[in-house]
Amino acid sequence: MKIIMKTLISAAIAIVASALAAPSLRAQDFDFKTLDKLSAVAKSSTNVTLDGTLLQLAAGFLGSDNDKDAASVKSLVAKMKGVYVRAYEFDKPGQYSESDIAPLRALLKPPKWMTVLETKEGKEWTQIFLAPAANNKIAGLAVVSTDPTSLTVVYIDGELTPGDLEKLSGNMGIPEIHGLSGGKPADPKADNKNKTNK
Amino acid sequence: MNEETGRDLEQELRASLKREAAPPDFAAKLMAKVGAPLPFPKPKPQSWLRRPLTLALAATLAAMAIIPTVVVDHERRERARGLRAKQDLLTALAITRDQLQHAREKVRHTASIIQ
Repeated sequence: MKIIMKTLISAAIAIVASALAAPSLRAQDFDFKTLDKLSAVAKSSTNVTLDGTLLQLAAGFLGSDNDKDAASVKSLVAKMKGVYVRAYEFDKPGQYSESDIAPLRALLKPPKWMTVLETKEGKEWTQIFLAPAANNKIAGLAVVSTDPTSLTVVYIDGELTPGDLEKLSGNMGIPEIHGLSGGKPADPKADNKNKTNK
Repeated sequence: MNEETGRDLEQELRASLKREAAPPDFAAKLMAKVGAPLPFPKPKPQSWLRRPLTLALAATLAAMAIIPTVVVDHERRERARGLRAKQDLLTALAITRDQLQHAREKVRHTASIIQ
C-alpha cells in the first residue's frame, strides 16, 4: 500500500513538475492542420517545421564560425527548440477566413502569452506575441499577420533574450525572401525553393 | 620348362579362368548388400557454409564491402537533409525578420503621424 502511495505521489509530482517546466506553448498546441489545408487554395505557400535535432542539424550547416553572420545565427539558433512558419499568399480575397486562424489566436492569450505589438491598418492586421519567462527572458515568439490576400504565422520556441529579438529583426546576412515580406505584394518571379508555387 | 609342361599350365589356366554364369540369386544378393546400411555412418563432406572459419571470413569480407557504401550513403543523405533544413531555417528566419521589420515600420509610421 505504501509503495502504491509513494508511486502515485511521485507520478503526481512528476506531472506537476513537467507542466511547470514547460510554460511555453508547444508546437502541437498550435493547430497547424487548420492552416495546412490552405496550401491547397493558396497561390504560394511556405511550410517550415524545424524542431529538435533537425534544427541543430540545420545550424550545423550554417557556415564557418569565421563568418560573423553565420556565428550570430548559430548562437541564436542554439537557443531555439523549434521554428515553425506557415505563410500563404492568395490570388484573391476570401480564399481563407478568420475562422482558420481563430484557434491560433485563442491560444495566444495570457497568462502564457502577451501581445507586445498589434497593428491594424485597413484589413491588414499584425500581432506579435511573446511568452514571458523568468529572469527577463522570453520562452517563445509568435507572429500572426493577415491581410485579404496573405496569411503568415511564425512561432519560435526557445529561451530567447530581448537582444535575440533584436537580432531576429536584423539582417544577419539572411538573404531577402521575395514575396513574403509581411503584407507586401508578392513577387511572382520569386526564386525560393522552399516556396510551393501553384 | 618343356613344351608339354607349358601346355598343361596353359590348359589349367584356361580351365580356371573360363567364363562361368552367375548363380541365379547373385543379382538379388548384390542389390541387397548395396542397399544395406553401413556399420557406421559415412562422414558427409561439410558444406563451406557450415565451416565457422570460412563463414566468418565471408562475413568479414561482405561487411568490409558493404559498410563503406552504407556509411557513405548515410552521410550523403544526412548532408542533403541538413542542407534542406538549413534552407528551411533561413527561409523561416527571413520571414520572421520581414514580419518584425514590417511591424516596426508601421509603428514608426504611426508614431510619426501622431507627432
